[in-house]
Amino acid sequence: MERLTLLAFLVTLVGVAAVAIAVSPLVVFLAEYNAGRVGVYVEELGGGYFRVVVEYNITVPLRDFTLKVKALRGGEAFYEASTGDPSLEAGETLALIIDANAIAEADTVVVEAAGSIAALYPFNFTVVVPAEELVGVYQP
Amino acid sequence: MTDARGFLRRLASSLAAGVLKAVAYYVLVVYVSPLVSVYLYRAVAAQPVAVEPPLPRGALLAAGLLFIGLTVAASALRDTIAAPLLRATAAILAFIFVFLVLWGGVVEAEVEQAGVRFIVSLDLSALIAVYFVFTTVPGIILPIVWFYLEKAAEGTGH
Repeated sequence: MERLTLLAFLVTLVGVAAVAIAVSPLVVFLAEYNAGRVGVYVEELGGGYFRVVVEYNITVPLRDFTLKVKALRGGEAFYEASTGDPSLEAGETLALIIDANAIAEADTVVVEAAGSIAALYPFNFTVVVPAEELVGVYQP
Repeated sequence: MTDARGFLRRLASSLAAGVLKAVAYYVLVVYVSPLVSVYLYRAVAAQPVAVEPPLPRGALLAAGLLFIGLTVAASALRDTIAAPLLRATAAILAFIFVFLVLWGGVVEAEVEQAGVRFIVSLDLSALIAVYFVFTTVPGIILPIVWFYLEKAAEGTGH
């Protein structure tokens, strides 16, 4: 009977440990994300180009990270550009250069950043902005 | 007489333990879980937004009362096959509850600021899978296994 009680205790311990291990990168990510350690902004480069930038300063890496920009007119996408990083680590910056002429006809621009937190939790951050207000800093 | 007194004493201690566990479940279900789910939503939105928990208060109360009932009944009936079946049922219901409290596995927040729309989503399927494998499955299988092992041990006089 004592062995069964010990086994029950060990099973409970393993369960709690597994959930704690699974949760910990998520908790760290959300805490640092809320502290503003991810910067997403669009700047005008001159020469008719925009640059969409993601500055990542969160301790937990984002796996299979992609940065995508879509230009929409009347709800229909007519232009798309993207770049990616297999593992976006703390201190890294990813940028995408956009030709202003290519998106000149757009009424809306969608910037989408997506990745997987610690390869476990798919995370997606999308900004939908009127084309004439594209240049700026985007943090919810 | 001694048997009846012993039975009543065992029943009383089972009920007391069951009620204590049930109160803990109730606090967890009705008070802690809405806070967790709302915090999760706000963390994803990265700002304080007015959020209703994914389950209405009535459903939370019903879940709390159901866990209370199952726990008390399992404790009171611990020498019968009903006890492990009730514990297995409680484990399944706990999983369903956790699934719903975690917004069905996908937390999605939409916020508008100065004409700019932010849509943020977070997929928690991995966490739900870990919870299912390491907590729910043992919670379903082990009480039944242990019931039969205890019965076997009693049968051999150990």
